[in-house]
Amino acid sequence: MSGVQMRHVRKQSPRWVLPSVTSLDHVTEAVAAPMMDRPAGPRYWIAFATMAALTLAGALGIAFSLAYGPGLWGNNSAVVWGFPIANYVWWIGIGNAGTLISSLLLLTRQKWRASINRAAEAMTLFAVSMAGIFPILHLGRQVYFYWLFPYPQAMGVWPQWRSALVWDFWSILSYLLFSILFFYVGLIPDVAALRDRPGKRGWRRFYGVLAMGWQGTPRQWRAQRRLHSIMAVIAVPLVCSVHSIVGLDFAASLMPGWTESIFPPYFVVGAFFSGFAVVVLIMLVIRWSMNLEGLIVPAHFDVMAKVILASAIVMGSSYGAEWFSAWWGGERGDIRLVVYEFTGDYWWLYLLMLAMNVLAPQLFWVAKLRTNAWALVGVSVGVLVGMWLERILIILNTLSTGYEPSFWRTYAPTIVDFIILGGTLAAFVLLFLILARLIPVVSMYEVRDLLADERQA
Amino acid sequence: MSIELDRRAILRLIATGAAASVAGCSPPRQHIYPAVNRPDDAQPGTLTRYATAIPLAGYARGVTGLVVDSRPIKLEGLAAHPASLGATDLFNEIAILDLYDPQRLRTPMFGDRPGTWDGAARAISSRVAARHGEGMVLLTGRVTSPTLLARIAALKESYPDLRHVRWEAVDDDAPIAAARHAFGRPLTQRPRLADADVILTLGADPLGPGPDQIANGRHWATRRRRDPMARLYAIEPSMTNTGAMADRRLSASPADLARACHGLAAALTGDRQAPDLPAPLAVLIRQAARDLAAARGRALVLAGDGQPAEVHAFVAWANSRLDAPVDWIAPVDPDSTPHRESIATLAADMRAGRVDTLIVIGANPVYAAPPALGFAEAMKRVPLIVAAVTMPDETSARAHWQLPLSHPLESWHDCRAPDGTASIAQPLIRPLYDSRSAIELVDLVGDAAADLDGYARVQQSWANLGADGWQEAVAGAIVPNTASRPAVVATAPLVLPPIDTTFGPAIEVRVSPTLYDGRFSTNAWAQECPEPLTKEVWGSSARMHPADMATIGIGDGDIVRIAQGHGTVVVPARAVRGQAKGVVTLFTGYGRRDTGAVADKIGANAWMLAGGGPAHVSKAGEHAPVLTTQHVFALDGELAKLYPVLRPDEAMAPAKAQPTLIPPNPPNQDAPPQWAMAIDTDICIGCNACVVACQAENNVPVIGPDEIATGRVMHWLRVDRYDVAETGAGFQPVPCMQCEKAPCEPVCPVEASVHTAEGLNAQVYNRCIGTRFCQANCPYKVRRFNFLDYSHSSVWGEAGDSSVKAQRNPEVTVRGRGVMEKCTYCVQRIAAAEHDADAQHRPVGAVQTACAAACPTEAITFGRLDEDGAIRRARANKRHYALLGELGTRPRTTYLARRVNPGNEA
Amino acid sequence: MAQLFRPGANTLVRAALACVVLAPLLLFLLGMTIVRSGYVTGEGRFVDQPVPFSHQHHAGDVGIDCRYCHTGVESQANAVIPPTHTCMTCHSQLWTNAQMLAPVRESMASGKPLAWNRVNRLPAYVYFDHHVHVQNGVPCAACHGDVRRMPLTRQTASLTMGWCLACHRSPEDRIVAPAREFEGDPYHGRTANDRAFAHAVMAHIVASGRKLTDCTVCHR
Repeated sequence: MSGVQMRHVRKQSPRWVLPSVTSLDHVTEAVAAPMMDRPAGPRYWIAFATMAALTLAGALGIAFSLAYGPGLWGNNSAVVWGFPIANYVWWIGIGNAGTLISSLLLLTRQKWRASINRAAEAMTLFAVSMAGIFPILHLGRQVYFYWLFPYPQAMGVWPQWRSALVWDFWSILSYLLFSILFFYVGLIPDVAALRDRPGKRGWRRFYGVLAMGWQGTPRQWRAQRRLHSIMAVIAVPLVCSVHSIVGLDFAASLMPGWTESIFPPYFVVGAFFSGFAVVVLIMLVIRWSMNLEGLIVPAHFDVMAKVILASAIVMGSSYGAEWFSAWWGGERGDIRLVVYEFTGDYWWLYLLMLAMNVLAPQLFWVAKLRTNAWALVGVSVGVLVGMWLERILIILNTLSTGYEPSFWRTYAPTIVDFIILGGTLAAFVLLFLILARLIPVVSMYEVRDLLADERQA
Repeated sequence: MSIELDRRAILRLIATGAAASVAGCSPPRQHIYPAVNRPDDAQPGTLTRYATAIPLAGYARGVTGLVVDSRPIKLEGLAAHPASLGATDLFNEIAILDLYDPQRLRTPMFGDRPGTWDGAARAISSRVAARHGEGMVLLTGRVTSPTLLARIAALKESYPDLRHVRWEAVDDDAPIAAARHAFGRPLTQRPRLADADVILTLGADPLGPGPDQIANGRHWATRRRRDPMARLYAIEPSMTNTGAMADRRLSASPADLARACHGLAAALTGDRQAPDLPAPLAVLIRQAARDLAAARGRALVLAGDGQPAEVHAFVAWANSRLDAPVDWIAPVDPDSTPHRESIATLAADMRAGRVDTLIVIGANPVYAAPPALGFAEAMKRVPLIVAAVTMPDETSARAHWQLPLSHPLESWHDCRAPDGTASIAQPLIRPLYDSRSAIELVDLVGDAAADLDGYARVQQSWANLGADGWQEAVAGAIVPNTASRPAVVATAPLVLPPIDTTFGPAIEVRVSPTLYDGRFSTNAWAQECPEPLTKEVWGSSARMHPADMATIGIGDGDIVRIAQGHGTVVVPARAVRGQAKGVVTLFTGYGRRDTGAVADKIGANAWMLAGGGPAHVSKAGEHAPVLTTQHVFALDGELAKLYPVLRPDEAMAPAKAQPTLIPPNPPNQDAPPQWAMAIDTDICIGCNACVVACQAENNVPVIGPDEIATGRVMHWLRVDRYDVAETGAGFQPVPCMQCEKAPCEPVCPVEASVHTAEGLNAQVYNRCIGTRFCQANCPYKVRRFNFLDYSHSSVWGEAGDSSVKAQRNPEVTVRGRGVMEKCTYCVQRIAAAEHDADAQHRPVGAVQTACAAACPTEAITFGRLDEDGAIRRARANKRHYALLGELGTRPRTTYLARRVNPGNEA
Repeated sequence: MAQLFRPGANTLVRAALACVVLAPLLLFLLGMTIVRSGYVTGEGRFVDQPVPFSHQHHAGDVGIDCRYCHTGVESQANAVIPPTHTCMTCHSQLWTNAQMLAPVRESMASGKPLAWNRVNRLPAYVYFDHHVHVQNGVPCAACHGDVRRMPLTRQTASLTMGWCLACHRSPEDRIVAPAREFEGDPYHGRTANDRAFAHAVMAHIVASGRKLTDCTVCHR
C-alpha cells in the first residue's frame, strides 16, 4: 500500500534535488565535507555528552537489574510482563521500518529514497540492537539465555519449538545479521569515494579497509547492484516475518486481548508506522544540522507524511477491528477486556494512545502541514509515544484483568524501568551521533544517480 | 521416644541445609558428616513420623511430626486425637516455624545482659525460701497439663502462701458464668455438630479460629455431606467463617442480637410477647424458630464466647428446650475462677505492693490485659519479675529476668484436649537453645538445685499406666479413655439478655484467625497468611458498615481513631460485607512491641478496646489501607460461573466438549497412576490450613509486606473468597489445576513447564530461565515467580534466617531468584511413594498432598483418576465442575459446587 | 599519490574474513568439548580423604559386602556413609594404633564426625534414589564403577544429565539380575538371567505407565 502513495507522488514528478545542487561532485562534497573536513561543533559535543551520560545511567539500571533481579521493576505476580517486553516490541518495530523503506522503495524503483535510505538503514541497525537487549534482560536468569539456542547440551535437552519465544530468538538474530550486511553492501561505493578523497591518511586507510578494494569497475557496480536488490527482495518477507512473530508472542496464547488473529499484520503496520515517524525526525535533524537542504527536500517529507497518515488510518481500523471482533465473537472475556480498556485502570493512557496514533496524524490531510517542520516533529513524536503506549497497554490491559477476578492486579512501573528505557533512547541517539562522524548519512552514489536522472529529464 | 542429637549437630544440619540450598554444578568442596554413633532407626535422609501434641491456649491438639535427620520439618494431623482427627488448622501448621524462629530468646537475660540459669534460680529461691512463698505469684496461661498441675500443687505444699494465677486473654468467663447460673456449677458446653440438622448461631463462630476449629469443622462437614441437607442460620455482629457458610445470615448489633433472643424465646414458647424486631431479623427469627422446633432433638443454638453471659444463659435454656445435641462436661481447666477477675485481682495486689515476686510463664498481660488494669504500671511495684517466654514480648521486656522457654516440640509435657482427652507429648528434637519447659521451670522455682528431668516428671504423673500403657500412650500421644464424661444436667431456666441501647458504636474485639490472641504475631507465616474474609496481610483494620463510615465522613482505607474508656487505637477503616450497622470490629494480635522484626509496629492492639462500653470513632488521618492479596470479591455477570452456587437439589449444567488443536496429553491417559484432586467448596470453611501446610511442605518463602505491596505473592495455593447470595461468602482454594492441556506448557521456550505421564503439570526449576510466559498465559494465575532472591532474603531483621533453613524440606528444591515455581501436587511425596513401591515391587500406595492432609473438613481430596475412589466419586457428583472448563484446559483439579439451603423463605 | 595499502593487504583481509566465519565455529566446538571433559564434570577425579580409605582393600581384598557400610542402599534413597562406629567395629581390634587411622579413633573419642569429601556430586536439585535403582537391577558399578579396584575412590561417570538420560532412555541393557548387582564388573558377560530380569523390569515400567524420562523422576 505504501507503493500506492509513492506512485501518486511520482505523478506530480517533483524535483527530488534542488537546482542549488549543480554537479555530481557537488553532491559528494555536500555530504562528505561537513563530516570529514569541518570539525564537530560545540552543539555536537554537548549533545554527545548528554547522550553519553544518559546511556551510562541506563547501563547502570541494567547492571542493577542483573545483580538484583526483575524485582527492581514494576512487574507483579499477575502482570508478569512489563516495560522490557513493551520496549522490545517498540524498538524492533522502529527497526523494521528502516529496512522496509530502503528495500521496498528500492524494489519499486523509488529514486527519491536515495537521500533517506542510508539513515533509515542505520536506524534499523541501532534500533534492532536496542531491541536485542530486552528479551535477554527480561529473563529471570539472564545467564542462561543461550538455552534458547539449539546446541547439543550436556543436559541432553533442546529448546521447545512450539514456543513463540524461540522463534523470536531466531528472528531477531537473523534480522540483526541481515541488516548489518544490507547496510554494508549499500555502503561500499561511498566509503570507496571517501577513501579516494584527499584527507588524512589514517582515515583514508580506515575507509580503504571498509571499501574492500572497490574500484568502481562496471563489473563491481553490476555485482553490487544485483546483490543489493537481491537482498532487498529477501528483506521484505524477512521484515514482515520478524514482526509477525513478535505479534505471535501474544497471539499464540489464550488470554483475552491477545488471542487475536489480526495481531501479526497489525504489528507489522504498527512497526512501519512508528519507524516512519523516527525516519522523519532523523531526516529533519540531518537536514538541519548538516545543511543538506539541497538533497533532502520538502517533497521527501510530504511523501513520508502521507505514509504516516495512511498507516494511522490502518492502525485506527485495526483498533476498530479488535473492538468489533470482541463484540461479534461474543466471547465474554474479550468484551470485558474492551470495556476495561476504556473504563479500567489505564483508561486515560488508552485514550491518549488513540489520540496519538489515530487522530494526530489526521493533521496531514492539510498539505501545508506535511511540509511544516513543527507539525512533522509534533506528529512524529506523538506517534512514537502512542505506539509505545500501545505496546505496554497490550500487556497491561490483558494481564491486569485475567480470567480470575481474585488475581486482578494493577501495574506501576518503577524508576528503574524508566531509567532503562531512557538509557536505550539515549544510546540510540548516541550511536547516530557517532555514525554521523564516520560515514556519509546520505547515500552519495545513489543521490548522484538520482541527480543524473533528473538532469536528463 | 526422644531423639539423640546434640546442638552442634543441629547447627551442622543448618549449615548443610544452607549449603544444599545453593544450587550449582560443582561447589569447591562438599563434606559429608556421618554421625559418629547413629541409632538404628535414624537412617540419614529418611522421613520418620512421631505422634505428639501441642497446646493452643492450654488445650492439646494431637499432631504427627515429620522428622528428617533428627529435625522436625512439618506437622500433620493425628487421626486418633479428638481435637485433630487427622487434620490440622493454621495454628498447628505454623507451630513448626515458631520452633526455628530466629527471634526466639536463646539464653537467660538479666535486664539486657546475658545471665545464667543458676543466677535466675538463686534470685527466685532466695526470695521464696525466706517467706514461704508469701507475696510470690505464679502467672500462667490456662493449664490442663496433669503433670504441670501436680508440680504446681507440690510447689504450693512446700510454699503454702504461693499463689498460682491462670489467665487467658481469650477467656470463657461468660459461658462458665451462664452454666453456673443455669445448673449451679461451672460446666462447658460441647455441641455435637455432626448430629445437628438445624443450627442457629448468635455471634458464635464454631468454624472459626480456636482449639475446637478442627473438630467442629469436621463434625459440621460430616453432617453437611449427609442428605437431607442441614441448615445453618447465623445472626452475628460481623461476618465470621461460620457466618460465611450460613444458609441464611443476618448481621445484628448487640442490641438487635439481644432482641433476637427475646424474639426467639417468644417464638419457641409461643406464650410470650415478641419485641419489635427489624423486619428482616423478625422474618429470620420466625423461620429459624420454625425449623429449630421442627428439628427438636437435632436442633442447636450456639452463642459466641464474645457474647454476654445472659446470651449464653438464654442459649442454655433454648438448647435444653430443644433437647439439643450438646454435652455438658466439667471444665477441662480445673481452675474456674473467671479469667478477668483473676487478672484484675493480681493487678490490684501488685499495685498495693502485696506481690514481691512475679513469675510469668507463657502469659503476656502487659499486651493483652484490659488497659483499665494498668498492668504495666502495677508491675513497677514488684521487686522481682521473672518471665519465661519462647519469644520476647511486652511482659518479658518489663521483667527483671527473661528466661527462654522450650517450644512444645522440644520438651516432654502433657495436656488435655477440649473434651478432656489427655495426651502425653514427646519432644521431636533436643532444645535448640538453653531453654527449660514450664514443668522444669516450676521445679526450678521450688528448688534451685532440682535436677530438671521433664521426662521423669511426666512419667511419674502417669505411673498408673504401667510400662506398656506408657509406651502406647507416648507412641500414640493419647491416653485412652480420659475424655470427660458428659454431666447430667437439669433443664436450664429461661434467661433473657437485657437490651442495652447505649449510644455510640459498639466495639467487637475478635480473635484473629491468623494470629490468635497475639501469641502468633511473631510468626512470619501467620502474618503473611491472608485473613479469610478481607484477605488482609501484615496488618489489620477496623471493620465498619459503609453507612457508619459515611456518617463520620471517612472512606475505605482512611485512618480512624477509636477511643473507649482507657484505650485508644488508630487504624485504617475497612468497609466490609456483612458488618452490622453500629458495630466496629477489630482483630487481636496486632500492635505488638518489643517482640522483634516481624510483629513490631504492625497494626494496632485491639485488646486496648476489650474493656467494653461505648466508643468514639473519629477520622484521624489520610488514606492508608492495609495490604490485601485479593481486591475483587463480587462476581457479577458472567464471572458468576467461577463460583457456582446451587440449591440443595440442583445439579451443575453439563459442560460441553471443546474443540482443540493441542494433541491429548498425557499420551497414555489410562496408564496408572493418574493423579487428580477434587475440592468441595460446599464444606471449605476458609481456615487457611492448606495454604500454610503447602508453604511448610514446599519451602515457600515469606516475602514480606513490601513485596506484597507491589502486587507479588508466593503462596502456591490461594483461597479465593467470593460473595455468595446477599449476605454470605464462599471460599475456593485454588492450587495448580494440573491442566491436561496446559496453556503454560507450549509457551515455555526451554520446556521447563512439562507434562508427566501421570498427568502432573511439572515445573522444572533448574531448567526455568524465567521468561514468565507461562504465568502470563495461565488462566488461573497459579504460578509464582521469584522476582528477587526470596529464599535467601530474610524478614527476620538482624536475627537472620539461618535457623529457619533447618525447617526446609530436603526433598524439595529451594528455588533461587528468577525462577517460576508452582504447585505440583507435592510431587516429592508422589515420587517417594512410587520409588518405595517400585523398590519393593508392589503397587503404588495412597499419596496425600500437604493441603489435603491438612484440611479439617476433608474438602480437599487427592487421589487417582484411574481407580475407584474419592476422586471418581467426586467427578460423578452432580455438583462437579471444572474451573473455567470452557477454555478446554481439562484441569485435573476440579470442584464441587457450593450449596445454599435457605429453606422455605415464606 | 602513495598507495594506501601494501599488496599483502588483500590476503590479510581475506584471512580476516575467513576468521570472522570460522572463529565462532571453533569457539563453539571448543566449548562443547570442555563442558564434557572431566575437567568440568569431574569424571575420573580422585578426591583426597581425611583417612585414605581403600575400597580395593576392604571391598576387594577383604571382601566386605557393600551393604555392610552402605546400609541404606537397599532400603532408602540415601545409600548412607557409615558412622565412625562402623569403622570401629573392626578397627577397635585391628590396626588399633595405626597412624593412618588416628582421625577415626579421634572422632570416636571426641564424638566429632569425620569430614569425608564427597566424590560423586549431584546438584542440589537432583534427587537420586538408591534403593529404587538397586532393587531393580541397576548395579552399583553402573555409576560408581568397579570400586573393588580403587585404592582411592574415583568418580567414574561424568554424572551429567545427558549421561543419566542415556540410561533412562534405554535402561534395558544396563540392568542385571539381582544376584549380580553388587559385582565389580557386572556388565562383563551378561547372562540370560540378566536379560530376563531386565525384561521383567521393563515390562513393569511400561505397565505402570511410569516414564523414566519425565522431569519429575529426578527434579522437583
